[in-house]
Amino acid sequence: MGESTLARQVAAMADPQRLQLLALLLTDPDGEADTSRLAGPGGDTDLVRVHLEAMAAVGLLGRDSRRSGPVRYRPTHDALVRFGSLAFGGAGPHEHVDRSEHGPILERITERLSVTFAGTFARETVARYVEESYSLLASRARVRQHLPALTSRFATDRLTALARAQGVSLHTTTDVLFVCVRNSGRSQIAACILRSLAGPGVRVRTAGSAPVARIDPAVVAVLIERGWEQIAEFPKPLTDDVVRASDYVVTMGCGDACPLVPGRCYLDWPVADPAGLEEAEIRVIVDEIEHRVRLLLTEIIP
Amino acid sequence: MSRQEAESTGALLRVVSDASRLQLLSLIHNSRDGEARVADLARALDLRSPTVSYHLRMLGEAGVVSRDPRGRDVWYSIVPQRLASIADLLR
Repeated sequence: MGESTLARQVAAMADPQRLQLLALLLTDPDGEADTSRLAGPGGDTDLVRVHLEAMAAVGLLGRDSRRSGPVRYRPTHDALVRFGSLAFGGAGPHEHVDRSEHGPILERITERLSVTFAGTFARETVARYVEESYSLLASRARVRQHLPALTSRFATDRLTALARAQGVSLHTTTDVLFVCVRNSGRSQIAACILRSLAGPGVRVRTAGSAPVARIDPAVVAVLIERGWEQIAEFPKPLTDDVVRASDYVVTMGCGDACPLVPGRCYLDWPVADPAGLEEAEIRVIVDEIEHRVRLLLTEIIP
Repeated sequence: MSRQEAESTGALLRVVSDASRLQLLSLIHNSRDGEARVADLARALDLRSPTVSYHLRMLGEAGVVSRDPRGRDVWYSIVPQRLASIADLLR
């Protein structure tokens, strides 16, 4: 961290109006705004622009002038991480915020972000950021209606920024979830093959609608015979969170049991269950799944 | 945030917006037990002790650091209520 950069940023933010502008930008439903929206009706847009440009000059705001129309300003990661809580909480200690109204939603946000940031932040860290983001936002009564959505976005942005600031690389991975009934055959075969074929840009998970205790040994034998050796899993139950954390959800024989979350790509593969079958029959199933996985991979990584 | 909150946060940042003071806060924050003495800080930053004392007094008046005299030494630490904000700033 350049000490002088930080000193210049702090100096730029040592201004009540700029702190208020940053607080407005951080609670904007779009996460960015132009000068007239920030100045409000009858406000001094020129003065607002001077403040915004001063913040942009020290790397606290980015300008988006790609689209036609007025320049829109968006807080940078530095702004989120270093000044996010200051811009909301003021200098004083945070007052207690009643979170009972949105308690269950906050739990779900924490669950989801814990999956997203698994391997980067402990659940406790995620929970603290969600809680704090909520308290910061809740102190602004105006945004009460959008509080959960804003909390989710704000906490995600802050955690992402924190991960970057700490030099933790957050891969922009594509998350693929394979689901079958017992999570001991088809989903394990598909996961094993995709893991072997795809690079680190694809994260693979599996689950079962009625998971059993262990992976089918006959399936493991065929996979090893084929050289697909990345079997390090155990059958796991299907939860909303793991679906929510996935970009692609592939169901095999259990489509009905899989929760539908908007924005996910759902695929249903009609593949037979290898349970109780002979090895020769399992080999046919493995071949079919491999064919489908290779097709899926061309879709994920064009 | 209210105008009043913005004023007080702005005032806090004005006191902190100095490279030496940010370095002092960083050293205190990262030191063992979050406490440090003037002599240690002066040595680490290659500053004179009176200079360090002056900065610490300004930070103390702004409510950012507190002093705790123990025996012959005075230990400076970041005021607990400010710890989260200062830690964020120093990231």
